[in-house]
Amino acid sequence: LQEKELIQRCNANDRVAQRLLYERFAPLLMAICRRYVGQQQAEDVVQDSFIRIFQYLVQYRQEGSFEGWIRRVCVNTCIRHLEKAKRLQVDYQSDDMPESAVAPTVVDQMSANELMTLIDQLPDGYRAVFNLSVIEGYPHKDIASMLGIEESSSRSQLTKARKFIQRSMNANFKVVL
Amino acid sequence: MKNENPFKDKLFQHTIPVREEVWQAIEQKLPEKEDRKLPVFWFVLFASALIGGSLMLGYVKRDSAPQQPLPQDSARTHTAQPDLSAADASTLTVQPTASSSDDAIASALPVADDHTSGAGNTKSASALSADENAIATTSKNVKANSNNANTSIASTKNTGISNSTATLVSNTTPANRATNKTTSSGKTTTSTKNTTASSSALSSANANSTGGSSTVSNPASAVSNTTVSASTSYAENYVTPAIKRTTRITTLLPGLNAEVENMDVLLAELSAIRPDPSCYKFSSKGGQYFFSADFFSGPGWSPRTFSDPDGNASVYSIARKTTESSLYAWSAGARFNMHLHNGFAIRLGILYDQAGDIFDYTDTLATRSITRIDSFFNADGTFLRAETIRVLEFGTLIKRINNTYRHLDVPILLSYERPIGRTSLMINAGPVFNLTASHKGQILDPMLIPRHIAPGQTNPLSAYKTSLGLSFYLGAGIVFPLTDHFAGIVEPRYLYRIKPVTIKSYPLEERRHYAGMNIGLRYFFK
Repeated sequence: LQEKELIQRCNANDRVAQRLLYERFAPLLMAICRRYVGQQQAEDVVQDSFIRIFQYLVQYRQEGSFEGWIRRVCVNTCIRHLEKAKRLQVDYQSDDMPESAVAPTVVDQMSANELMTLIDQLPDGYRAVFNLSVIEGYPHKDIASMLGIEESSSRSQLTKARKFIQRSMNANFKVVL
Repeated sequence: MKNENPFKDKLFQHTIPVREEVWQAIEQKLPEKEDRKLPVFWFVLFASALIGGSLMLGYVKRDSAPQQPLPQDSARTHTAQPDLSAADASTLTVQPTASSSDDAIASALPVADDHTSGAGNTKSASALSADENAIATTSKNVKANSNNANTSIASTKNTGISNSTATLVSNTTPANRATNKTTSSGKTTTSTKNTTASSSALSSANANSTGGSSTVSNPASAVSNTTVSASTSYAENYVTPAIKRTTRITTLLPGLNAEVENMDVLLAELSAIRPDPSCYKFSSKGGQYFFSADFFSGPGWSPRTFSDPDGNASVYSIARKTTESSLYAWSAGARFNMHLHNGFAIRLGILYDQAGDIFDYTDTLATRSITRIDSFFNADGTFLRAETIRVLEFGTLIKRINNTYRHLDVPILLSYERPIGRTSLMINAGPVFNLTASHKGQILDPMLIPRHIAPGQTNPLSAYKTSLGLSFYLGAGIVFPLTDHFAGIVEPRYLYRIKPVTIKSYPLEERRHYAGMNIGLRYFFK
């Protein structure tokens, strides 16, 4: 099925097409949700994400990639879920600890699951900004609007997230920074 | 080469298997597939059932009406012979005529060969029965056999005179007998050798009664003596001073059906009957045409279709179908009717219909810009500074708007009404000319952004016509009388709009039709 036809059939509430779309994107969305909300609630958010996707698929304007649109719906669902659970707390406390670089080779040697475990250890506020900035690639301006925070706050949260990861890596992997 | 962002490289396309139960949970929350079939089928079915039921009811009523089981030879008319006088003692020689008529109720059988034609008759005698009529033929003083005493028709024997016919018809009803009023009509033809004469007699049952026999004489021929007697005990002498026309009248009231000679009496009786408002034949002085007015209203449904003439707006078409759904439709109207004598009618009126849709739009990626001013003060309350921040809020935009589409039309219809009992079945068809069309609300524009459709609103979308041109109306229903002046109307109808309701520059062709039920009253002008 071509993507356009798949979308049309999904809009027509064709259950087979909806299942095809689910099969194609569910593992990806599961990984996204896992990064944002954690292992425990990832499946619930995946469900909500797909329901929103099928509900609002008609509004997809076929501008840009379809996967990008689906990712964004999923990320927004994750953020709404975190907001609803009051898990998006911005840490305004200053962190005087200097940021030091982690040897890239260390991260390169880590598997995706190990990186996921590392991200899981981040506080929710840090993790959301870290995912949005480092993995999804959103600029801080968009992150600020998405999370309802100021741009400077987004930058500081990302810095703190990085420091947190560094500390975790130092503790776990005894990496000399 | 070192990766600059190993997190993104490893996690951006990272996938995690999902359990099957997740899809099952999603499927349960997804809406059931809507099977929205056009109710045209049900509309046609209802109209057909209405028409079929009315026809069946009409035929049942017709079949259940009293019918006269006429014998094969009884469908005859009678020719009258003039100048038959009771004073003449000559015997009437008769032979039945052969001309047929649906309403004829009696005939005389040919008895030229003196055959026996009825039980108990010694010679040629025949008795024919109907509900209220009996036919007896006798010859030569033989009492006729009659199966029904209400009416007797006696004809005399053909005594060998060729080409002579005669029929005597006596029509009595129980009511008439009770009041000693018997109408008997007889038509006899007598001749001697190719000479034909006819007569018609009207006499009272108790007048000139001779105790069971009557003799009709033909002074002109006087060929043989023939006695005509009825099986009833009040046989009479048929005195036929002059020719009288016999008219078979069928009225709507049972018991009044009879053959009536006196038109004055008939007209007097008919004038006492109140005209049936549903019967167009009685509704005007001349019986040519009469007028009425209909006032009606009723619920409906306004089906619409989207087509994509250019073939590149299918997504837009789907988006409009998804975001808009029919909510209600109704119509009202009035029309002036000119009914012709043959059941046809011409209707001219005004028709208003309104359809309501729901525009349901949700944008999960909607943004809203909010300007926030933060003021900072010292501990002593003095103003330090103010920061103006523009906050872009990300959220979900939900719009639920009632769209309204109004149309005003002028129908010019040709109608045919067929009375069935007191109810009339009517079929209406004809062109409908749109006077004006208006619309209000919001729809998605081709860029899938909600915009107003009513002129005068902010940034309106020019999509709909203000005049829809020609349409076609088809309706079928029943008219049932309520009072002398009013009748009820029930009419399922369909309005097919030939042209799209959208303008040419709009990327989609939207057609909006209307199916509804006219329920109302008809007023007859008298």
